[in-house]
Amino acid sequence: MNLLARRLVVVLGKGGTGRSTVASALALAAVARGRTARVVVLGSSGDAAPGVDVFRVTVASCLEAFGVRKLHLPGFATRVIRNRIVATLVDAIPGLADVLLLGRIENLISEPQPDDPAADLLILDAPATGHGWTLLQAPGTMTRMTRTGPFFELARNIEHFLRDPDRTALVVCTLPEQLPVRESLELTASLAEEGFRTAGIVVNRVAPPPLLSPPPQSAVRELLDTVPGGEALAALLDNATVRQARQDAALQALQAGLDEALPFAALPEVTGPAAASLAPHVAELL
Amino acid sequence: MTQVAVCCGAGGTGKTTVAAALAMGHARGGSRVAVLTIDPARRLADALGVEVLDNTPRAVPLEGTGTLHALMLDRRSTWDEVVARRAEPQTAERLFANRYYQAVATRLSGSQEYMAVEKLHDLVSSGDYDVVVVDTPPTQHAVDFFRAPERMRGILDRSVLRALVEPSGALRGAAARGVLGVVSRIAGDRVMEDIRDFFGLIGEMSDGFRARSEAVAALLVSPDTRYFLLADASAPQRSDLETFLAELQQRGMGFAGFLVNRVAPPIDAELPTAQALRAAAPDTAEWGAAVDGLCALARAARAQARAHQSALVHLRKLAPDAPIWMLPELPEGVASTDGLLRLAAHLPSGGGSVEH
Repeated sequence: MNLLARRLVVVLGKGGTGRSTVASALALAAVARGRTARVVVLGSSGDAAPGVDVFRVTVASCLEAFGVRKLHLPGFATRVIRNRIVATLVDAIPGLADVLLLGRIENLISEPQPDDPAADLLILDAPATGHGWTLLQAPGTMTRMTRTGPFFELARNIEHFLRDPDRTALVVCTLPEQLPVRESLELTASLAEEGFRTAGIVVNRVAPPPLLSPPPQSAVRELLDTVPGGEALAALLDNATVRQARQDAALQALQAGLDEALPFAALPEVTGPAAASLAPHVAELL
Repeated sequence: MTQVAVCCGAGGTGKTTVAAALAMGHARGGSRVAVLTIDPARRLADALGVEVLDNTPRAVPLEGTGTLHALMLDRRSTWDEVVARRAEPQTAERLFANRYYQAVATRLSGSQEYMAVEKLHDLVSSGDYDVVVVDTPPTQHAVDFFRAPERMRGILDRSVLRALVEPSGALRGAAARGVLGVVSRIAGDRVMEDIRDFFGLIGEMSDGFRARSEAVAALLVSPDTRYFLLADASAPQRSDLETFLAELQQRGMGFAGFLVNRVAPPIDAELPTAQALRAAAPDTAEWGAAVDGLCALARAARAQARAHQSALVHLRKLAPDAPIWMLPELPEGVASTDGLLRLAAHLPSGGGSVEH
């Protein structure tokens, strides 16, 4: 996926597919390659793995940065920004908050300030599918609503940034199950329709085959018939085999459903600290 | 009286599928049932085998005397319906033409939840159903479903936005004008104008809105509305169960119980030991690897069963009197009507047994 050549990686995907873990694993893998990487978390929710550099952005902090840098507001006016009227208005224009958040990220990359923490690669742990998709569309929506002014400029800059495959990579997280696969295919199709290019797909929690090598399953079953308690283990093996077939079908559907040869990486199920264990596996994506 | 079952839970806990199975169980029991999903990704349509899922109830082919209708919330259409019903025709027309309404009103934070409850109210007051099952929008926290409608009502009702509509009224003085100036500079003049128009028009229909939202809020605390909380067997802490339960209690809402999803099958029998397996298997490298694989399988199954048992203990501690339904992980998945029926057999509507 050549992620190290970009400046921003946006990790998308439905709830429960492991976006945060993948974002942290990517950061750890990039650091292992000698780069600086930072995971950007929106609002107060979400978190990153231990040892990962986190940058938390809130609407209020973005609004303040925007006021000072773009509108050149004096100090007293930034206090105005904290005013509840402004907060209500931001609440009332959903796209506004999204554009401010993305604007702050774009700003960190293109115009780093002395007090800004800089990093070679920013990894955005985006909200779950519905809101994540809305977030990406927000700059477009805002440019259609406003035609001039600093906010229009900001939204337009972000649009260019997000759509530039040299600078931004969109990575979609999914699970090896029918419904999540179908949703990711719908997401990549919507992205393509709106002119966004998906850099790759990460399939999380891919289980290894229950038995790695021959002998054939029938012989294994015969063996289990002769062992006390073998029946219960045979039932477990049956379940695992059925699950495996379901997983294979989902992975095939994913490959068949992707238009072009979109790179995709399968990550194993891990126990313990997930991001650290997965870092070596996501390194191939960099 | 229509019974309402709301399925809450964090993203990824399987809410949509469980809601569909719960509804199917009720329908198989002979009830007239509707299931309302909010998920925009058409997952329910997949599982139910229906071509179209939209804002109108669609019949799901099912055997037996009960009926099942499924619908998926379309935020924009529901907004349009609410406006068309509440506003004077002229006001409605102007609202539909307003750029702010077109671009963002349907995405106001909490509007999805608010419109879900609006739709639920429609379904209940139609009198067409004995049971309505609701799948809630995917949110980080289960409690967002109750908070969001209030937040949304707050935005529509707040005096601050009134002030934007009539700046000379509530916002007197230089400081207030300064605030508006900053807002205008951020958002642009045109946006401000659209927003003023929007809230002006909404204001014209605000009495209707308020009456309606009170009725909608009353439905959420009605004794006939009960809340199920989905928990993932492998990660019960993900749903913020404690906050959820506290909030339910505080609001006087009825808790129906926990639905613990994807529970690994219990291991009743003693599994064979590695020694026994090795002794029985031919002494070759191939068989050695197979025995290792079998041992790993047994280990993983035991570990998972233990984890799921401790999840159960965790839930019992949180709510000692609440019923808990354990929904097994179905190896073949729940992607079809058959799968949903198999899952329904473990749910309260399908005669599933409660864990004690």
